[in-house]
Amino acid sequence: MSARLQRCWHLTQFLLAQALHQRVGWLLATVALAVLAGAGALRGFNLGTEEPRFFTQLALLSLLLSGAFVAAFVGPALFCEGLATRTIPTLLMHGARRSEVVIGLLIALWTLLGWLVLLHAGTLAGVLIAYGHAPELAPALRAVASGFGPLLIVGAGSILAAMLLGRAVLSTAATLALACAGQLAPVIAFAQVRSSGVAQMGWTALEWLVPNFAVFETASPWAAATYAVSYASLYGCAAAFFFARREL
Amino acid sequence: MTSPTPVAAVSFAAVTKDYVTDWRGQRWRALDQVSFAVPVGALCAVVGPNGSGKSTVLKLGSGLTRASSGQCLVNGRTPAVAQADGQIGYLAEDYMVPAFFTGRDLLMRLAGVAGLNLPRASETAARLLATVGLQESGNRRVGDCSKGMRQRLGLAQALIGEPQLLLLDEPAAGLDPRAVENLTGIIRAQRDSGRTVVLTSHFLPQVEELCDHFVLLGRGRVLFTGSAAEVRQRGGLSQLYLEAVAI
Repeated sequence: MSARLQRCWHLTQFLLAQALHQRVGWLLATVALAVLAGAGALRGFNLGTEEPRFFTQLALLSLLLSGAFVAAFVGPALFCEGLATRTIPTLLMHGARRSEVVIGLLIALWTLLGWLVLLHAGTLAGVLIAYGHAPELAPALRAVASGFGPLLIVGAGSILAAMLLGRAVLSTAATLALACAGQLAPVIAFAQVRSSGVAQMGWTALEWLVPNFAVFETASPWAAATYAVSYASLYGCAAAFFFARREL
Repeated sequence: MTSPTPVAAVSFAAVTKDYVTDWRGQRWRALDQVSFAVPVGALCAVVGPNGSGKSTVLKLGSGLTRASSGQCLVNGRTPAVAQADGQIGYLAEDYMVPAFFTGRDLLMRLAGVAGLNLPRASETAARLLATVGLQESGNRRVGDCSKGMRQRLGLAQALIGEPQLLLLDEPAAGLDPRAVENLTGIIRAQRDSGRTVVLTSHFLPQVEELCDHFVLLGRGRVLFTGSAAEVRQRGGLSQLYLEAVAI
């Protein structure tokens, strides 16, 4: 393993340990309980053969909501607290490069979001099996797994917001705005078509900058994965660019 | 051909540092044409009132921030290069050691980031804990340690990789007299082992006793720089400080 990879591995471990100490465990447990309680409530309705689809949509909604909140709160907190407690400057003084710190932050946050996806998949599988819908398991799990794409992008967006804005509250607000804008991308596309002149240029720029989360419902898995990785890489590179120029 | 031996461990030549304070691009000058040199092997104190630029001097020396103009060198090289080579150990002001690690765990993780493999990181952590007198408390959570112990742990992390230059930003801030005495002994031992140490402090009597080179800053400018003998000639550090800062 090259020295650089080894350093990134240690950085990620360090930052993940910090993230885990922000009470993330409690959040994950609460989310799992919410899905179980929601499934129990849905059971009270007579949904017939549509029941597995309702359970799946509930799990996906819970995943996207809780994932957006985890990304919006944990990502900026990791960076802003790291600066306030002088942890990040200390890591830099031990030979870590700024780009490696950004990579470490991204991987730590994506790992948390990955655990959130696994937790939802596990909970949904348990609910479907318990209520006698085992044959519907595979498409349901595929649908939940598709939720990781938007979270990958929102996670990278949260780190970019933290590097750019520097304050945890502003960065959290910007990340939540990105998560909402991604869901409302068709509205941006509509406004871009209907406007003209400078306004149209503004809407076009926004259309390029903001991802369209509808892609994850319509595109093939490989196309969706490529789309998510492209946007996440773009945001990650921008975060590294801004961090390299930041005063510490 | 041999490279010339650097005459100074740290040298500042007409260094100015401006910070951008808001989104409109307004600037605040932290250092203004600062020039001084710290000899190799010296134990140098950078003193001055709050806001005089002491921490900025250390941040520039560590390579964490860049000068707006002028030249700052560490052992004849730019701080960024010296930092990448592991020549600089740095203890930041208000460094809050993560509370959930044990002291040994923290040092091992930072040694891993510095490029040491697991056995070497473990050996380094044990040696540094002994250096700062924490060999008995290495397995205690940092959150359960006293402020003095945490500060010693902060000093231990600065010693990872055996740097030639130690930059310590107010290492004794908030410590009781016994903890200060403890820390002073460790810092003196580092100087005696051949390292150059640059520290900032507000404890004038202690640093006058401890250090052999002084830089006095006021409003971002160098008001005095010289050896311990020169300070004594001018009536002592406290006298010099009060006279210079009153101007």
